[in-house]
Amino acid sequence: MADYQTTMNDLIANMKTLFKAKLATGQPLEGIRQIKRGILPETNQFPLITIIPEQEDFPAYSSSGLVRVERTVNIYVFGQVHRQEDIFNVQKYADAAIEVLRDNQTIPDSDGNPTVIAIDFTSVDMEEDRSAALFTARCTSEETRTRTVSPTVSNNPTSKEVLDKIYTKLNNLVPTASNKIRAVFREEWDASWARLLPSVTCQLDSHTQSRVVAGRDHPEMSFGINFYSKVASAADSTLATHLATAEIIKGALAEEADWDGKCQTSSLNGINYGQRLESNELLYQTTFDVLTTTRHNY
Amino acid sequence: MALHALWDDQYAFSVRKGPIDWTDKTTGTTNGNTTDAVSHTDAGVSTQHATADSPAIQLGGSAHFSATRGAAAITTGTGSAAAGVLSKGRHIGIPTSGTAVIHGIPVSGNPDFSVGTEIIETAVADGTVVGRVGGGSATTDGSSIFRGGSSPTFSMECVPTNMQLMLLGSTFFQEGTSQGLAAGSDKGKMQLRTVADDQVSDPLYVGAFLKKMSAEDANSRVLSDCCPSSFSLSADRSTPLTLGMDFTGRVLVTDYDAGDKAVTTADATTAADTTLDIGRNYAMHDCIATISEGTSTTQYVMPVDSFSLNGSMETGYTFYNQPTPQSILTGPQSWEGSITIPLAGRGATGSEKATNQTLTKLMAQVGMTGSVPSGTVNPIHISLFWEAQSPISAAFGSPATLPNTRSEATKVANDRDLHIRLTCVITDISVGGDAEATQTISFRCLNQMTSATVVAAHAVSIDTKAPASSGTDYQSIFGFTNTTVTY
Repeated sequence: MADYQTTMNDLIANMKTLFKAKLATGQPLEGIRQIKRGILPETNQFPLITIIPEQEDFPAYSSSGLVRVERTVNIYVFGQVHRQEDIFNVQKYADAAIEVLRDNQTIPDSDGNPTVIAIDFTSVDMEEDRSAALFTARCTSEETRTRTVSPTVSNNPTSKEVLDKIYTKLNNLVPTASNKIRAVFREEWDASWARLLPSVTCQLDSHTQSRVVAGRDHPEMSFGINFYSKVASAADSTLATHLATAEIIKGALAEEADWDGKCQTSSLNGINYGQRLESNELLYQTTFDVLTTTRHNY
Repeated sequence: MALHALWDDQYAFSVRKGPIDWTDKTTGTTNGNTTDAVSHTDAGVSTQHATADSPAIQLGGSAHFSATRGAAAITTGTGSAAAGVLSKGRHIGIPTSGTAVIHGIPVSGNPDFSVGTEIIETAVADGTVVGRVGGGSATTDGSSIFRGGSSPTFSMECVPTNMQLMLLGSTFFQEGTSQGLAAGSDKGKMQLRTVADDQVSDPLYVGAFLKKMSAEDANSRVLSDCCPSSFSLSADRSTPLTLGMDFTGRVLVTDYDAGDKAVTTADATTAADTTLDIGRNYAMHDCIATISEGTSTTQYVMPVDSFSLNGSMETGYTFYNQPTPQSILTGPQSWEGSITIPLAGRGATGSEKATNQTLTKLMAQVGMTGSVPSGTVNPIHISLFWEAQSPISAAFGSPATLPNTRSEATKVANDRDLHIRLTCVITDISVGGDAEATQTISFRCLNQMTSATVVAAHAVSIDTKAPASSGTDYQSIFGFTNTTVTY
């Protein structure tokens, strides 16, 4: 991967590597007993740090499909707080974790190459009821994504026509085993589909009438695409596998400029990473926000 | 009920093949002899001159905005270049079939026309006096203000398709407008480019802009026989390629009935066409931009955050003591623009490519390459390519495969492709940016000549290709005079 480019999967892996390098005696994170990615198992060794992906934003693109992606990552520091003053220990590790990232602003990969242009931090929130400290790192990297463009644009497509294009595109990912997607649905998640995980749902979120030019409206359709996978274990690899597939879905959604000419333009505005509890089943849930602009001539 | 909803307004643009005799305001013959009368009289009535064909085709204002083609020749041509060229007086729209054209323009912001009537005021006596306005008789009522000439204007902005860009741009580029007709690779390719210094000043293409207020009532407006004074293109990360133009017309028609017009003498009344072209728009995301570091023909692929190009033309209007122009002449054009690229360039050897240091040095050395102050100024080349179906594959910092090594046969190879190529002299460089430092390069565009009349590199060249034809070859032919395209 070129300099200043990365993925969410690689970004949190590189962060973990940076933290692990500071665990030795005399290093700022000495005493931390576990550093991991994703949710925590039922039993843990405290104090620990876990890195959880939060969000990925795509500001408008430059030429050649260059975009400065902004990735938001939550970093939690958990301690064992038996006495009131134990919370200072948590605060100490949070400060040290920020310093580690601040000293490595480009979040280098295993070859030492930079993956991030700039990094910003939120304030550190002390969550004493959870014996934890939380801060958010917002990392800006580059990404280049070319798109398939149609020469002409349809007049007044229905939202279902556009949704069908999105569905078909994603459904074509299913037969490739390495994509690790078992099913794609055109509806919101149904608990009965738990046996078909990992799976994708896509649906219309909103349809707004926008008037911009004479003789033509530009309806905007917002689609929500959700990717679910089962949290079989709290191991890092579960999240890594989920993020790898999310990257494939992201690529599929971002490479369509107009969905075979159904839209004037289509953009993947952002990705939200989260979890969902469904029928006592914990799922990793990644939501892709796709905004399309269509044409309606008078 | 005198209520008018803005959303109901629609705009259309029609081009008439000139040159026009701006003093000929005669109306109403069908003998085919008068092809260059103005489109509307000073009172706003369509001139009714028509061809000698059967049925006769209108050449005056009634032909504007008609969905019927202005020439039967295009539908019956068999492959010769001449078959696709319109004769003087015919009207040009965006072709959609062998017999039909469309005229709609997706104008933003509902702009209106400005009447542009000049008011001449004379001095009044000293003391507490009030200026006088004539009571209808200039001989019996004193007046201290008088009506002068009228230069109605219109400023508009739209996000164009390539066909709309060609139709509107033809009135600014004039004889620099061309469309290839020869069989083979040139067919359908179109070009707007700055001309060498031998262009005549009589406008060859004269526009008419319609603001349609209603379908049937006589309340729509037409800026008749208009010429542009500016042409600007811009795009940035969140705005697709946008065209802005300022027009000045001969007369403003304020009681135009968009639903009542006869195109041929055999027609019943037909409505003005405001159909919009179905072509794609041009987002910065889908553009490949290149820049050279000097006179070298090698250009390097660079990410561009924003781009702007502004052309202005000194269009002259002479009234000869008449209320409307008796002569309209196009004059010199000047072009300025800017692009924003990364400060340090990009690519595997990015530190050497299009860096701020290299370009700043180039600008600093302008005029200093020789022993005298008037040294030669060397241009750089900036290009933007929108290639839909076979994107240029070149990494940042790599020499572009276009335009230098691409053959004539593959230039703007795909339908609706769009290339903008500029020959620029740097006028300023400033550094800014957000997370990443960028440089904004300001420039002027100039023709690079190899002799007094031969242009080596045009100041501005906009190349595109009409949609694929189905059936007859002439479904995408505008009918411009120039029928060869040299990339």
